[in-house]
Amino acid sequence: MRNFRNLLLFLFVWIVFEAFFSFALEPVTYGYYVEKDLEALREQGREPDMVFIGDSQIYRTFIPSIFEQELEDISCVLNAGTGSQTIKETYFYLKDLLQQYSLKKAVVGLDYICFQKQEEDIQGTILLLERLKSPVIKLEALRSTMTFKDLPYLLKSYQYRGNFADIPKNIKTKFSADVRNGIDTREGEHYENQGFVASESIYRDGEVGIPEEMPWLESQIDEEAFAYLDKIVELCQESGTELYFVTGPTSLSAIYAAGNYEEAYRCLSSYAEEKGISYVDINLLKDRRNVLRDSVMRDANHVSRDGARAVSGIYAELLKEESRNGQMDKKEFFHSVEEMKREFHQVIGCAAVTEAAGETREIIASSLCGTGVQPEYEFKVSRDGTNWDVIQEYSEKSSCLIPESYCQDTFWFRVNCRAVGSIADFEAFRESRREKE
Amino acid sequence: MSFLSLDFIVFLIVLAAAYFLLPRKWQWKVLLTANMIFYLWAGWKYAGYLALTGLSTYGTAIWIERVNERYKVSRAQCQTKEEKQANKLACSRVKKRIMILVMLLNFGIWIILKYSGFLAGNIGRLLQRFSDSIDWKTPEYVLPLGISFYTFIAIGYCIDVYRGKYKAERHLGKYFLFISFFPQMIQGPFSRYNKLKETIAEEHSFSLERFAEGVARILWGFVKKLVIAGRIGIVTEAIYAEPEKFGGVYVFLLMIFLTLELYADFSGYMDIVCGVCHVLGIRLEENFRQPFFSKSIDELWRRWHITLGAWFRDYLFYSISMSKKVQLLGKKVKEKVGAATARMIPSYIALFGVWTATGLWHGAAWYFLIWGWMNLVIIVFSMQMAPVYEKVRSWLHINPEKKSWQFFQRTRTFLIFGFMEMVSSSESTRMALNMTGSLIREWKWNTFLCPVQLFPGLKIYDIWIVLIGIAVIFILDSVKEKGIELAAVRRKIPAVGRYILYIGMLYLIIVLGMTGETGGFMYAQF
Repeated sequence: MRNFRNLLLFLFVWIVFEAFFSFALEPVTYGYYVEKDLEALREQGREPDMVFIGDSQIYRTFIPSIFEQELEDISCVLNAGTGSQTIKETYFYLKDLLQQYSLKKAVVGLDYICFQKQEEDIQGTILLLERLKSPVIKLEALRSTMTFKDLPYLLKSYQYRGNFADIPKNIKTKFSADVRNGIDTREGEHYENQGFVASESIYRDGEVGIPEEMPWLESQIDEEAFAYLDKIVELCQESGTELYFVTGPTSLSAIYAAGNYEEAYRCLSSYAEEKGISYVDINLLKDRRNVLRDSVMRDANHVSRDGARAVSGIYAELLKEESRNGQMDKKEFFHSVEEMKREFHQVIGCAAVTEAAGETREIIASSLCGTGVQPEYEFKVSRDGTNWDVIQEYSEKSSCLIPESYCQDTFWFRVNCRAVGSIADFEAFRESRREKE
Repeated sequence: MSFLSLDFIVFLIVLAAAYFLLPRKWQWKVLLTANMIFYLWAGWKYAGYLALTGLSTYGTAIWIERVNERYKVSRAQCQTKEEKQANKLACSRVKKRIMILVMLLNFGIWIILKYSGFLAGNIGRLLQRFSDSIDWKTPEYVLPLGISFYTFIAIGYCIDVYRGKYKAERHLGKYFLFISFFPQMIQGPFSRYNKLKETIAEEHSFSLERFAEGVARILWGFVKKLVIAGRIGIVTEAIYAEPEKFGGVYVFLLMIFLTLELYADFSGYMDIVCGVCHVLGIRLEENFRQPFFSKSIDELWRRWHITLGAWFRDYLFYSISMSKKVQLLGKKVKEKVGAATARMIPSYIALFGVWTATGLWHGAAWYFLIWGWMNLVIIVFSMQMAPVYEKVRSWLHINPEKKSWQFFQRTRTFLIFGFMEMVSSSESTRMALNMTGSLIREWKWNTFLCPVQLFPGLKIYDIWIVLIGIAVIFILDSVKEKGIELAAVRRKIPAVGRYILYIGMLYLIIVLGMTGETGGFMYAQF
């Protein structure tokens, strides 16, 4: 009896510790606000009849309210995107949502990276598992997404152990009135409504730079992702949900950095065609020069709120068209990546670094260019980031020595880049500040 | 299987469950199975080495015992004293040959696997001095798990049987249980057969109190390793990564941090190992006894990695110092150097052997040898200078019992040890020399003006964790130094307090443990 009492006491102490650390370490996630919104919908007697589901490209791109306004047959839209969501995870989440709601439409995001073998992001998996309502689906998802060594992540204290320094901030945030009312006031990026996360633009046109190279490799195609995509198709067929595939918008630099984006597009579009599902890659928008310019980007792979607004409007129009005519009219889109690339005879992105060169420093620039484009560079420096001195006029030389006097203090440098023969001030640029050593 | 993995935790839970739930007479079999699983986890192909060492030493001990018995019978038939002496000599000669054979075999394998790269590298460099055209290849072998430990433990066992300290083990399974005992496979301790057998082969019933004490010690071990040593490791790595940037004061700090890191790491491992054994009811030899309370390097080595020191003392020091040739040498030089010094010569020769071996045991590199010899020089110098120190102290009217004097002695010992650690942890002899040079050349007092800078790589809250962690270790060590048993103190705490302590430690590991960032245990490489 005494041992039993001690055991209970021990478990109680453990639960108190876990509850405290979970509360203190876990930041307020987007999932918290989604729950708040779903609760509010329930109170209003509404439930989602259309979902967008996929990774961060989905939750940062598709604004539910725009679709609710534009689509006559749809009354409530939920953006069910989560960070680093894989196709496998999409399947489980969609299955769970279909068990809760009778969905008319489901738009599944096909991010190319999801079809290439990659290291699994356990944090993303856990965030998704937390959103699942059905214990059976949760268990099924847990078994197929987590390995034995991932089990400690089920403890929130372990999952968020990296946030130790944020404990005071987390506790303060959780007690704030805004958060309790479901209002996210974070700067830079915040949860807006029904799953949509609004991001601020951080670039000027031509500023995205050169993202990390991520080519589509035939050898790295993840067969399991396609198998789960098959399951998603079956799931929607069984539940009578109209299924759509969409690839969210990225910067032009990200498309060119991939090198062979056309192959990825071909692979996914032929899959969709084979299954008879409508597929749109937003990146092939003919007017992308205006709609998806760098100044509406949150980073190289995601759009800001302005970009999301434009893209949501375009995609809502497509769906509306499809509802009316029975099929999507894709005249606003290029037929292939090759066709799109032919339109961009220019410099796409520019990067620059400084390196020590004796007593001074040297700026070394590089660029990402359209097919057959020869770049030229212009180098500028500034002491205050406002008044610029050209230290090298446009030329094909990709490096330039900085006058010694600049290097003695904090300075700014800027490299403008354009195609030889272009009359634009620049097509891409890189601007950076270098602290005094 | 890393002690820091989830696999190991599950392994322990399954082991403890099987150990206590199955009939007690099977406990040794459960342990043996656990040993095999633990060993095979590292790779089945290395099991051959363990089997060879186990079988050869098991057979040797029995063989030696049979030789003893045979000569005992023939001794009984001896008539005269001369015959008896000749019989004894013949017996000892045969036993010695057997011992040489088994040592050649086992140390031979160990030396080839561990030192052939070092030896071949040195020979290659020597040959290339004569001719550039020589293409000398250095062999590289993967060291089987625990080879240094089980080889030494098994040879120690043979020597003990050879010396007639105890009887040879006849049960092959129980012998393998002893030499392959998984808790001591990675970093020791070097258990003695007579001590471990008593406890390992006993039947143990489950005790909740013992279980809790064992788990508490395991948790404390993980806190030391993952929370404290892991963070100090970031600082030492940052300094070693850019030695040209971090000179002077940082080398001094490196000496301190390295010592503390190694202590938290190694003693943390020992706490885990002893805790595991405690849960199972097995008593394992302690490897540390508050080493930073030592007043001299000699004393420190009797408190730090105790079982390694004891192994070298019992099997190498005495073997050398008591050997006839060395004793003879001492007698020969007696007239030239005086009786007092001549008496010390066998000890010094033996110490040279011990510290050369200790240096090499820690690693196949010149800086490990230099480290070993540095220890030797300091110990011998202290021994020789002891009367001078005594005179100086009385001339200065220093009371050796005074706390300030003891504090000085302890600090001095700590810093000397730290300096040697810095040498042995350097990547090369040149690096060690450069860092030593920078300690004087680049010393800047103003570095101390910004305390955060003294911990490169750590954030403010990490620094606090390190400082508090070190303080707790020292407080607990000083309590133990006063002869107070920590387990007894813990037992006096009410149940709820104890649970808060245990769960608190668990959450320190979960939340603050450098689980992903830290490598294995530092001493495991040896």
